[in-house]
Amino acid sequence: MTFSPGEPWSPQHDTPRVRSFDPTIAVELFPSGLQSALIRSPKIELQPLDWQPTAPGVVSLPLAARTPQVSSYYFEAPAMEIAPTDSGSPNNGTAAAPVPRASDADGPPSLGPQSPDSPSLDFSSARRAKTRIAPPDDIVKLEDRLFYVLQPALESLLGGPLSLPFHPFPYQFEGIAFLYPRHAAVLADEMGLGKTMQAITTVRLLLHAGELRRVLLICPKPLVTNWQREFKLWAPEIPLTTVEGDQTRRRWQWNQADAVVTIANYELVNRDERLIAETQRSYDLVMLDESQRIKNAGGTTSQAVCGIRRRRSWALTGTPVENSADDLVGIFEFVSPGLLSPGMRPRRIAQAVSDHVLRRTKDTVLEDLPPKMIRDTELRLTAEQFATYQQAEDEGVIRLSEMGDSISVQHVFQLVLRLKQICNFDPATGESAKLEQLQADLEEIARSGKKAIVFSQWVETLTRLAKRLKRFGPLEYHGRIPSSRRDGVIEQFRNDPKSHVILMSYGAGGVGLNLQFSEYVFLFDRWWNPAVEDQAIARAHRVGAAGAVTVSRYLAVNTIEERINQILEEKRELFDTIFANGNDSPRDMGLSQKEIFGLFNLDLPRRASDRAA
Amino acid sequence: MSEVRDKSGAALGFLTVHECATRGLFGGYLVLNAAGRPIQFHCTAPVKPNRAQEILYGATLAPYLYGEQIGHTLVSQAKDNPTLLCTDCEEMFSLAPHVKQPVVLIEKAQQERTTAQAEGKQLRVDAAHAPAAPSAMFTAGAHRVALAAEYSGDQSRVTEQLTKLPPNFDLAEPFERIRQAIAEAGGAR
Repeated sequence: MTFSPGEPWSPQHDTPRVRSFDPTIAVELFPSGLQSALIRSPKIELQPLDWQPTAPGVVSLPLAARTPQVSSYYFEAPAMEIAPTDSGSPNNGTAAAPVPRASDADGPPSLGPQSPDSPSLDFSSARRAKTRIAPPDDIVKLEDRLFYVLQPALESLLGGPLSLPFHPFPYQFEGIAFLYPRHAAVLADEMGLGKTMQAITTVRLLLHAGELRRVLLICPKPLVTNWQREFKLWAPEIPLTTVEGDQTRRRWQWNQADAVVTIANYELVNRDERLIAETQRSYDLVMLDESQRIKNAGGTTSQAVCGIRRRRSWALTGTPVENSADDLVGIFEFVSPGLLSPGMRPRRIAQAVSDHVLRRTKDTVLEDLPPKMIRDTELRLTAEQFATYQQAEDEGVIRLSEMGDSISVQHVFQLVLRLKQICNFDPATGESAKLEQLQADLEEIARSGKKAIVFSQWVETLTRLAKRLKRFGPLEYHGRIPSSRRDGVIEQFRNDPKSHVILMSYGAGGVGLNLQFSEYVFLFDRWWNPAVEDQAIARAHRVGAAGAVTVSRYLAVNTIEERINQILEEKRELFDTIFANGNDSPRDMGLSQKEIFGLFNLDLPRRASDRAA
Repeated sequence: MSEVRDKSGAALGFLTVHECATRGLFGGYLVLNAAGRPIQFHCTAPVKPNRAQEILYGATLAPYLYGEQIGHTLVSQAKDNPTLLCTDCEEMFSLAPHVKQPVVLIEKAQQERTTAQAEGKQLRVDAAHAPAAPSAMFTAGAHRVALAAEYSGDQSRVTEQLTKLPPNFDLAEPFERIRQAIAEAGGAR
């Protein structure tokens, strides 16, 4: 078949030529002599192959996370928030305390507003200084613990509507944070660190937070006006009721349902024990100032105070331990009954009260205070002085022994005073080992242009010293110096470069003077009570002092002075064991009558009561 | 969410996440009244992403965990919610689509920033991976805050709320409370 290009093919054309092929595979047979019937076709075997693919393994990763478990805590809104109003009912500290505004008799009393004139402190510079309230150990329930953890920092609470007249020290914020959550607390700061301010501010915060509604403050009678004044200063909006007057008036005052802060003295509480019980009212807080007043747990004052119904119990004292650890046991009968028991070892007491007691000293908290170096100078009396001393002691003890039951603490006391005077100056010869030491010490002080204060309990000693220390330009400041001249004495001591020493009695110079320009203090003889000595030392060792203050305490060895010192040291050791504050001193820790008799191995007469000297 | 301050006293909510190296992420939500006192506190059990989540969520894992899983759960759990939700975690911006209140990032204190810089920590989130880019910091009253960029329209609302606060109200401070409360609660569990 042929085609011309462009010519369409038609079936009418010639039959195409077909070429056929025989697909038979030609097999050439070789003459093998075998029959053709034996010819076999080649056998082909087929082997099936499985081409079906297997499904790959799948790993599923769970990505959808479950909703996390949530713990929720709800807190009651404070009942008494400060509401700015323009009417005022500040406390006035009088017996007829203003009746707080109350919506009804059973409802929470409302707090008056702050005075619009109250200065507000700017805490912005201290925004980073935050004092947080930590829950005490005895709060177990998590919700209660979180309530305190989640409270705002004290600085922010006190920098807003609740203003303060003065900027507190950081340790005072810490004291407030300590008191705030505690139902059982002892604030035992050293005298002068502001326990009153810390307590008032905490009460104020708790009142405004609605955690307190009725507060009872019990203090010694002479301190009532002080507390009124301090409340007016630190919490002017809190109404005060001071219990006083005749019984009818007091009954009415104890029955006041809407009294916010009630102030009463110990004597009245003791006298009105029955009246208080009759009211059937409970206080949210009972706070004791100078709580060592109830150290005797069996005393009537302690029983009257401990019988008052209350939720919180706070004690304020600078002297939680005066004579023995049992003093603290007495205080804790009020603060947390049963926590301590008489006769407990000091270490166990320390462990038990550690979360309930806060004790700070000036040395540890006042950063601006310069260091204070205490130097105990042990002196041996001169031979003649010691002979005089020995004779006086021997004769005195014999005399006391012969007095039998008629002996009193005054008799013993007279002997002690006599012996201490001999330790200062030998009345027979005028010799004084202490004076020799003092002269040597003052030589160096005068050469370096410094100034020193010398304390003694006797004016006679001071006048004798003045005569013997002429070259140091001595000035005298004691009971025989008229009041009108005293300021001039201080000014001369401050300004006269030739005046290197001022001779002071503990009584006249112990309080209220600022002599921080003196770098040396000498305790020519020791007072009975470390608190009085500390007050004396504080004349020089105070904020603003130019440098370190060196305190020399003169002590005549093998004399009554050494024995007294030993007793005071033992008390100091006991104090340190309980309060773990090695830089501390036991305030007001005087000698008891028993200890005074013990100085001469004399037995305490049966009729004598155990009162502190 | 409606204004609930008058009814419950709730004024501000504070949301944060505390990271514990061993246990995971703890969420905390603190609701305060106008005086700064606590009204409610909610905290989560620790949340720990598994390895697969870490790989597959990639850069979006933190915003997912902080905002959607922890933040949303906490806010949903609360009885009453305030008008503003404050946070110190930028990742918490991912909560914003799930709640009606503005989610406000509080500027960290200068001291904290300095500390973080000193430790070499990078607080900045790369814009390419950030789920919700923050708008620029702005001042509302006495406070420096930021909103997620897509919610910048809430700025006037936020400013109005924060201006009502006292000038000394430290908006960064409540987060410290939450961390301490989480530590307290974590120790108790």
